[in-house]
Amino acid sequence: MSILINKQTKVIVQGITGNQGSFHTNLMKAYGTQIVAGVTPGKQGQLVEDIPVYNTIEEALKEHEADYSIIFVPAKFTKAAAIEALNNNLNIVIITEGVPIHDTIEIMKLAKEKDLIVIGPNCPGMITPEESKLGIMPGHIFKKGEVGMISRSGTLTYEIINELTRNNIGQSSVIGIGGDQIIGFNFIDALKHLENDDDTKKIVMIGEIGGNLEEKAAEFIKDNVTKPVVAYIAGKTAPKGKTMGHAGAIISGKSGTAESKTAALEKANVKVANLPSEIVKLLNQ
Amino acid sequence: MKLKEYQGKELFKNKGISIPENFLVRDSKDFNQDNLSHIKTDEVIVKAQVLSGKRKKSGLIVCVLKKDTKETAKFIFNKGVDEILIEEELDIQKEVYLSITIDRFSKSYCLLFSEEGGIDIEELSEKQPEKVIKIPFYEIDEELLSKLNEKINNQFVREQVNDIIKKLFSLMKEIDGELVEINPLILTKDNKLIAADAKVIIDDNSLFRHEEYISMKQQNLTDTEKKASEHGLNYVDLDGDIGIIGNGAGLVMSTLDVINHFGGSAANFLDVGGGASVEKMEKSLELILSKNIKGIFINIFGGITRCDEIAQGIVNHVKNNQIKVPIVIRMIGTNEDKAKEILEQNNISFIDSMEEGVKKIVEQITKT
Repeated sequence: MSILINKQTKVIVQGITGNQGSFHTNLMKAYGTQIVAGVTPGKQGQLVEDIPVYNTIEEALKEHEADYSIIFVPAKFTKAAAIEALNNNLNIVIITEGVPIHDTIEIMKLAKEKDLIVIGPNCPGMITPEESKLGIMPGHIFKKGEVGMISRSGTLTYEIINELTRNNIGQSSVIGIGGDQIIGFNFIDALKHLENDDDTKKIVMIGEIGGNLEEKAAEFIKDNVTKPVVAYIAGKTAPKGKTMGHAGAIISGKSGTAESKTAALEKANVKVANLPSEIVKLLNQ
Repeated sequence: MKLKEYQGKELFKNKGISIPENFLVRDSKDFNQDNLSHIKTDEVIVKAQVLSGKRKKSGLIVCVLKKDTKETAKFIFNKGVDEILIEEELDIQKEVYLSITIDRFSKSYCLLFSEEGGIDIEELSEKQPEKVIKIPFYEIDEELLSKLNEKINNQFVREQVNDIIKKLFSLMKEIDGELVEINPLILTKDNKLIAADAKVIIDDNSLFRHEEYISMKQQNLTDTEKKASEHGLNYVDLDGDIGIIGNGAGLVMSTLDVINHFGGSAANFLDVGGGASVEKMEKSLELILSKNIKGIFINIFGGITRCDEIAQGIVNHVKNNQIKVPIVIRMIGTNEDKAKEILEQNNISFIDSMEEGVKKIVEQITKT
């Protein structure tokens, strides 16, 4: 069935009238995503393509049903947008980069209280190939298939998907969980869903330096995942103490190294690729 | 963004967290009767205000007799240090560790405390985890404090630390701190808790709402890193000789790894970000060419980023400057056909495989 989203998923776009919002709304709609409405305060009554814009989510929900909101709002206003969506019981995808950590923590606290899903922030979104796209990834490189992918990266994900598709390995669900220090839906959440998804036969994890989510995922995999998992970790050659682009990609002291993640994953019987191109080989083994 | 010790201590003081009596000097001339006389102890601690760790080991923190303060400061200034903090010596009974940071796995804040302070908390967590109290939290409430208090043995520490924790967290929220650490938090012989050091890191993502800190952001960056930051480019200086430009942090990190795998060495990390413009591309090239490099590898996977924009930026730059080192360009994605056209019209070729591209550039620089 794929996970989280499909042809039936109804989506609201927050920040729809902005540059990024309008650009990607068009692309998502063209891909087949059911975008029911957009929200930009002050722009009620406008249309983006033929999608109605409302001042608030509450207004939008008076006329439409929705499952998810995707947020293209600048970092300064992201917390307000996210909280508004969560208070209206929507799951959210936060594309925005640069959200202050304290804001993110507040968002996560509310999401936990309401048992709602937050994807991101600072992520490319997620896609169920040939069904629905909630994000900014180039749809044409994906192909429907049996590999579920979870990644902290944006373009590195596209790089790897491209290889998979070219080698006739399709994807069931691909989720970009984001590059920040604190993210919502993480590797373990995705693994739980993918393990239970009939359409997913194999799983690929794309991690990077910083934090301990890969290590925690490895622990989870040992006892809870039976499907084969292949991983790739970026940042083997990154220096200590420097933030490498993503706010969450930093080796602090001894923790968060590519070595530690690789070792933990290998202990859990995950095959870890040395190069992006090796992933296809490992999936085919 | 890291704050210096004296800046952190200033924030503590304003919050009502006790710090040692001290004053800051930027020049030997800054010493006068007045500021030294405020320090009542016979010995003083002379502390270089630099952001590197392990200052004591590098002789950047020394304890000297009051009469030798100026001499010692001169000696440290000569090491290239700009600011020195002169502090009274504390009568130490006990050193504890206290910090509040963020917990990535719990998606919350985290309180860290140990009755064994003044040490490397990471090492202690590894070797004697029972000595480190770690409590993830969203709010500082009575439940949290009781949880902590029942594990603290020293009565005086227990009685005073709660107040410090409340103030520390309040400060952390005000300044958008990623970390506020007091190591060591000293219990003096007359049972007072005093913050002997201050390590404060501010969330870079919050600087837009902290005008007062924006100017400080430039510190601890190399010259090239500073320039990059001015142009909104994510850049890190590295030791190698192949200049790298890519789009997307993960992709660029991976590029560095692949370069290393095939025997090359990257001169830098540079992420042009999503939807990069012609101008950003030109600035990126300018930046990496300002270093002594033997070759350039450009790796673009165009999602939102339009390959033709990138190509135009490259062509503009090549037209205006003479690039003498080999360039290998790998581009794939949105508008790649237009990009190919633009580059070929200007006699620049590209490859569509990342690994082939890396092998090619490593080969080319080995030839020269």
